[in-house]
This record gives sequence, structure tokens and C-alpha cells, in this order.
Amino acid sequence: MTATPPPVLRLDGLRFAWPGGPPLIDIGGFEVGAGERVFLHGPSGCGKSTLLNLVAGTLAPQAGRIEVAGEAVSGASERVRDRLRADHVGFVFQMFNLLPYLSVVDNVVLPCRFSARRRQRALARDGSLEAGAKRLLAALGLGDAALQARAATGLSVGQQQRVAAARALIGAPELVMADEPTSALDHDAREGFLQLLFAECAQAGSALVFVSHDHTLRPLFERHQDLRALNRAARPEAA
Amino acid sequence: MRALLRLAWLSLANRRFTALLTIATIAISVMLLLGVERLRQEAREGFLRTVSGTDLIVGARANPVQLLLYSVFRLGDATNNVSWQSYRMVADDPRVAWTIPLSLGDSHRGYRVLGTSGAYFEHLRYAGGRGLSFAAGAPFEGLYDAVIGAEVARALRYSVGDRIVVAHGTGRATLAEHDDQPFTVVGILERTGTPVDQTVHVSLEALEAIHKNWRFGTRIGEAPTAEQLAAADLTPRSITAFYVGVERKLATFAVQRMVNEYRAEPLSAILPGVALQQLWNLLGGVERALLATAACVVLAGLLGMLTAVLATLNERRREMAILRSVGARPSHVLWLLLLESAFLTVLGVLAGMLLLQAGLLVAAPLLESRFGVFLSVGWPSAPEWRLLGLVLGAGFAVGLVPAFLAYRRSVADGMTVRT
Ligand SMILES: Nc1ncnc2c1ncn2[C@@H]1O[C@H](COP(=O)(O)OP(=O)(O)OP(=O)(O)O)[C@@H](O)[C@H]1O
Ligand SMILES: [Mg+2]
Repeated sequence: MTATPPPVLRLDGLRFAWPGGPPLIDIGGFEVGAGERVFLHGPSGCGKSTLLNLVAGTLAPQAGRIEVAGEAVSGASERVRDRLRADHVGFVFQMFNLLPYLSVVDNVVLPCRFSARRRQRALARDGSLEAGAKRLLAALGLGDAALQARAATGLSVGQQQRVAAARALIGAPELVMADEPTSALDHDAREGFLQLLFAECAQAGSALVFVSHDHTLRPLFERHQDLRALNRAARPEAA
Repeated sequence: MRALLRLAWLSLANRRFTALLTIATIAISVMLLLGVERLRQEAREGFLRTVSGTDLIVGARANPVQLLLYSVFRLGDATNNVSWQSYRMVADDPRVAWTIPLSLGDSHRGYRVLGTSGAYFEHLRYAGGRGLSFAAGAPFEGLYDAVIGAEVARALRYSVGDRIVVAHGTGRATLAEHDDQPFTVVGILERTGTPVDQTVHVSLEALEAIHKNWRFGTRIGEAPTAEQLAAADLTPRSITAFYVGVERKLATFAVQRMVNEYRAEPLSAILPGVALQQLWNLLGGVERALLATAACVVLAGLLGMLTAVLATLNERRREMAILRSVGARPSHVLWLLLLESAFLTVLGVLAGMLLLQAGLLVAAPLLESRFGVFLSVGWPSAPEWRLLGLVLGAGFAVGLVPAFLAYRRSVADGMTVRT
């Protein structure tokens, strides 16, 4: 690592509107440093999920720059954007994160099938992909071998979210982005899930961008960001 | 790629019920297609080898197909006969190894009666060199001995020793019967799948004898007694046609030319293989229509697969979005769907081949004994491989449709699915 590692996420003059729609996102500048934990909030419809898709490279902005782990996502070819996502970002969604026809372990290992980099990092750390998946699952409280061999659909929602977290973390990507991963869980389970997620992000050295409306979780984060404050397009006078 | 193969396979296995139904549909259609193709080939082969080992067929001057029709298939009648002198002239030619005389004109309960010689049982070949063999009894020896084909024996429930009466003429409703001179069945031939099965064979001399007291289609006077017959010359004055086997194959054309240019009587000598091919081409439309029908069934099977795969696309949007989020490219999604169709097609084709083999194992002995159609169990022939290749190609082409749809959708959806 260099003395000053580049931010794992950097947005610069980012603008995006859905086809035919008003400007939805207009962000002058935003950075997430290595290992940082950011709580990103804002009312429904303000563009949080859209921003995630822009960072993932599955949407292309009309203007501005997106960098992930020092590499430009914006302006890159679709092929490069897909590779950057696979190599550097892990995602956890609100619900239905898992492929129903794969076992729990196979679900966790999935990103390593599409990213050579994450595969190598997982192998370097744990010797085999399966061992890596099992270590993460155990750390997230899913150490039971019978449970790991089960089809993903045989798990409770809370368990599924933890499997999704393990999948986001395998191969230690620089950035983990979670889009309301706890909204289907009860309050105690939410806190438990977050503590586990924090611990594993710290273990893997991954930064975490956590999107949520749930302000009770806010105190757990060191940095908070209201998307409306960041997003010039969301201001009443801009809209 | 290996990861994608595995994903496609597991995804399919997760929907195994519909997948199996789709495979079954394709398998049945492929079985039908291959079955029709094999039947078509075997029927053609069998047809083209209705006469084999015979180098020339000689009859009164006629169109080759017509000569073939009445001499081989006993269909229709000859316009003219061949005189015994002309027959002897060819038969005695040093280049000719053997001849089989054929005399048609009478019938037995709808089956043609063929007057011939012992050479018939010795030299006649069918289906590429198989000789005639007897299911029961032996060739005719006595004057009133008859040898019947397998179909005659089966349909009329005849066995060796039964007495039969030959009718004058070939109509089914002929009333003029040679009932004063009945024949005895002395032999029953094995089934051949050729017109031999539908023929009653007697000697040329017998035909001569039963017509001794006939003039212009009516009986006059008493049947000749045994003494009268023994004294009489039973050499026919003419025959309908005859088969020729030459000593050396090279002589075939020379003998053919000699017959065709014979001055004393207008005769035709034809190459049976060539004439059979001509006749088959006349009939060929039917088999091609059959094959086209089977091809349409396969197409319907593949469209069934298309429907089945398309129907899953909506419920699998989430699956595609998850794959995108873990780094899959839209082209991976495309491949996933293509591989799925490929699995379905390949498995369907394999199952179809197995079904056909199993069906043939059961049906082949039945077809052979009942219809004289020889179907071989075994590896597909070159034209069958070609058909299989076409089916696979069509399956992959059909698979492009859902694959491309899923590709476009996955580009649009990205990682999030709006419903
Ligand atoms: N595919 C799309 N096409 C057109 N407009 C869209 C599309 N997806 C989202 N939008 C619009 O963009 C805006 C932002 O949507 P987005 O999903 O990013 O909001 P969000 O902040 O994630 O909301 P929530 O908290 O409810 O998940 C909404 O007004 C939505 O209608
Ligand atoms: Mg959202």
C-alpha cells in the first residue's frame, strides 16, 4: 500500500437523469476513503439506488466522473465497467439476494467466478474458495455445516442477508455497498447484522457505504451523509 | 465458461419438471424424424434391391418401367409375349449363365400365379444377395406342385399339402377356374418383403397343361388325362418375360444390345437397377412429404422449447440482476440462456436417439416378419447424422431468441429489477 491510498470511491461533477426525466443526481464531489463506513440516507425516491447503479457501472452518467479504487468507471467501456464492479465492489440488496438453485457456499463463492482478482485474493487468504466462503459464513454466525450445504432458499431472511454479506465480502473488495439490507429484519437482528458486517468489513479492509432510511442505525456509523445535502438536483430550487 | 455451464445446468435442474417435459417433447419429435428417415432409407434400399443379382430383364418391347412393373411387381399385363425361340436364343448364348423364365396370366384368389422353372429358386436374389429360402417344404417337382409366397400362406392360411385351384385370368371375381386340375402346395417361402411374397409359383409346364383344354378363355372338352399329358409336349410357345444372369458382368451391355437389336422379334432388355431407380423417383414424392412432416414436428418441438424458456424469463429477472451485481456481464447472461437451450436440445436429441433404438429393438423383428421391412438397429447413418446436426443447429438458433431477449433486458435492468 502507498502512503496515501486513493479513495475507494470518488464522485466528481456527477450528473444523471433518467431518459425523459428531470435531473435526478447532480453531485459536485464525494469521496469514501479506504475502510471508511458511511451511512447514506435520504427519503424514498431521492436517487439512492440509482447512485448505486452508477457506481456499479450498470448505469452511465450524462456527465462527471466516477472512480472506484482509483480506476475510472465513467467513460470506460461496458466491459471495463463490468470488470471493475466484479473486482472492487460487493453488493448487498434489500431482499432476494441469493440464487435459489445454488447452495449457500456456492452463492458466496459466486463473485470469484466472474473476477479473477477476487478469486486470487480469496485463494491467497484461505487456500480454497470453499474455505474462504466457510470462514466468512462462520464469522457471520452461519458456521453450521448442514446449513451451509443447504439450498439458499431454505434459509430465513436474516440468514439470507448474512449469506449475501459473506458474498459481498469474499475476495476482500475495496468497497461494499449495501442497499437497505436490514429493512426486512427486526430491530435486534438489524444491530446484530450490522455488528457482524462491520467486523468483517474491518477484517477484509473494505469500505462500507450503507444506504438506509432507518435512522436508529445512524449512531453506529462514524460518518453520515444525507444524499439531499450532497445532491444539488434534489434541492427544491434545482428541481 | 465452466462456471457458466454449471450455472446453466443447476438453473435447469432447479426447474427439472418443465425441463424434462421439454426434453421429452424434443425427444419424441427427434425419434419420429429419425424413424421416418431410417424407414425411408430402408424402404428405398429394399425397393432398389427387389431384384438383385439379375443383370437383365427381357420382355416384349416396352418402356423399362412398364416392363419392370409387370415382370417384377406383377402389376398390369404385358402387351406382348416373348416367343420360346427368342427365349432359347438368349438362354443358349454362351455369355449368359442362367435365365429365369416368367409366365404370368393366371391368378389364385387375387394373387398372381407365376409359371417359372427351378432356376427361380436357385438364382433369384433380393435385398442385396439374399436367396430365397423355404419356411416349409421344397421347390416344385411334380406337374401340379405349387410353391407359395409368405404373404399368400399367411393371408389364406395355407400350409404344405393344401390343395388350391388356379383361376383363369387375373381378376378377383374370375369364375373360370381350372378346378379340374387342382395344385398341391409343396413349399412355402420365407418372407422377403418383395412381390415374391404375394406370388403362387408353378412350373411353366403346369401352366401349359392346365390350358390344354382351353381356347380363348373358355374351357372346351375334358381335362387331359395323365397319359395324354405324358405324351404331350408341354413346352410353352411363349412366355411373358425372363431374367438373365450373365457369366461376366462386362458382358451385360453386349447381351442387352443383342436383345434390343434382335430382328426376329421386338424385345427390350433392361437393367433392373436403373429401372427400379426410375420407378422410385416416380414414387419419391411420398417419402419426401413424410420427411417434411417429421421435420415440422421437430420444429414444433423446438418451438415448445422456445415457449418454455421464454415463460421463465420474467420470473428469472431477479436471477439475472443478482448475477450482474456479482460481476456478470450481459454477455454472460446471453450465454447462460444459450447454454440452457443447448442443454435442452442436446438432451432431447440424445433421448430421441435412444428412444428410436429402443423402439427399433422392439419393432424390428415385428416389421421384418410382418412386412418384410428390414430395419437395422445401430448408429445413425450419414444422412441421419446430417439431420441430427440440423436439429441441433435449429435448436441453437431457436435458443438465440430468449438469450437475446434476456441480454437486452439485463442491459436495461442492471442490478435492480423493477416489477
Ligand atoms: N428504470 C427507471 N426508469 C425511469 N425512472 C426510474 C427508474 N428507476 C428509478 N427511476 C426514478 O428515479 C427516482 C429515484 O429512484 P431510486 O430507486 O434511485 O430511489 P431510492 O432513493 O433508492 O428510493 P427508495 O428509498 O424507495 O429505494 C425515482 O423517482 C424513480 O421513479
Ligand atoms: Mg432504493
